[in-house]
Amino acid sequence: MQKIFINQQSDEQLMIQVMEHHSHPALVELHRRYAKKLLGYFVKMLNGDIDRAQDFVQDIFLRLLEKKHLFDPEKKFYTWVFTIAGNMCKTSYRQPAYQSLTINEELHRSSPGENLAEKERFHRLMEQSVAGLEHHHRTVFVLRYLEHFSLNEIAEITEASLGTVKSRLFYATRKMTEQLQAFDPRYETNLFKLL
Amino acid sequence: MEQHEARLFDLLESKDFSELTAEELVYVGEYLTEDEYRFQQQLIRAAQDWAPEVEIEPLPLKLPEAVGPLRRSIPLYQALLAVAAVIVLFVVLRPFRETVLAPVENVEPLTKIKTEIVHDTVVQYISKTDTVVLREKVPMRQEVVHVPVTANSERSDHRPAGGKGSNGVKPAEELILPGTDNTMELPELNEAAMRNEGQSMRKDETYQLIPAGRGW
Repeated sequence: MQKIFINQQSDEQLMIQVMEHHSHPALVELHRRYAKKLLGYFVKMLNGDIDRAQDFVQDIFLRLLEKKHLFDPEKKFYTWVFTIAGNMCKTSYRQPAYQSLTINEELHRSSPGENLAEKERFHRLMEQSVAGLEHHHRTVFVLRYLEHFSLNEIAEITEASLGTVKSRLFYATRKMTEQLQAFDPRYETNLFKLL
Repeated sequence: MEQHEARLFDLLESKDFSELTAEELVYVGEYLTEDEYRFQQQLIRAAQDWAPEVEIEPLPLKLPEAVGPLRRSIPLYQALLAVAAVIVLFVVLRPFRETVLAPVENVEPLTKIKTEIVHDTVVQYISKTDTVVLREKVPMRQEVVHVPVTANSERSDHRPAGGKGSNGVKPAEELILPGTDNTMELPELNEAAMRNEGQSMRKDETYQLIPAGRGW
């Protein structure tokens, strides 16, 4: 009989072991596979608060242990864990008060013509613009463009229809372009140069 | 509105403005200008290429200590089922209650005691029943018990001796109670004996107990 090592088992098989046998090694293996990805997700969703993101990663795996009976083996583990992650961010969502002013300062800080610096500045502006979105718009934007989930997977994670996911993505990107355009009419030209 | 936004999003992700068909141009033109379409599309592509990597490593996982089966947490519904099962077992297996008969009114006592004071002797007539029938009583025999008055009494103890009285009544035999010195403390009888009712000696019928030939 071929022995299957724990690192060769699928996510769903590991989660079943956690459900049936309260297996800590299986949970540790899941942590090894998903902790960094979840940490990146939490950092983006929690406005760059790394300490809080670390606490959330620790907390989510304890929740997996407590609510293991809620896992449906017919579904994908990663969609389930990101659903839990999204709900955790939703309950602790805080709008940063300084966001708009910071975008304005960033737009007028560095001198034009320094493409690398401009590109980095643009990315910072995007981060701040994402942080200013409402929770459900920010969730779909991060899952789609920063975590690279498919539209169907995002619909499963957010427990919404495909049309709703697309609508939220459209609104999120539209809101961000309006914010970035509002502070510097020349920004559009620079943006096209960066890309 | 959601339907329009979903279709616009599909076009933004898949087609440049120059690639739109005539029908799509008309459709997009209702919601976005060309500059808006181009800028939003560029932002989407910039976000797709952005993907900032988090350079920090996650902290090691800290799990609670391994717990035994008794300390393991269980879902709420299992806990509620266990409580319900205990309640059902308690109701089914509880001991039977003792049946308490309701008090019956007007029940005559099984043993009747009639007390009479004859001169210096207290006579008790005890009627006992040795057969008990619910709501029925069958008296079987009658027993006469003579109980001498104790030292608390001031009267002398005169007892008739042998023979029959003039009325043919045989003197009662003294009943010796086992384990006693043939005396019995009967406070209620002592109280009755000491009661001064002020009866006239004319009404005294104890002469019947005095054997013939004997007098004062």
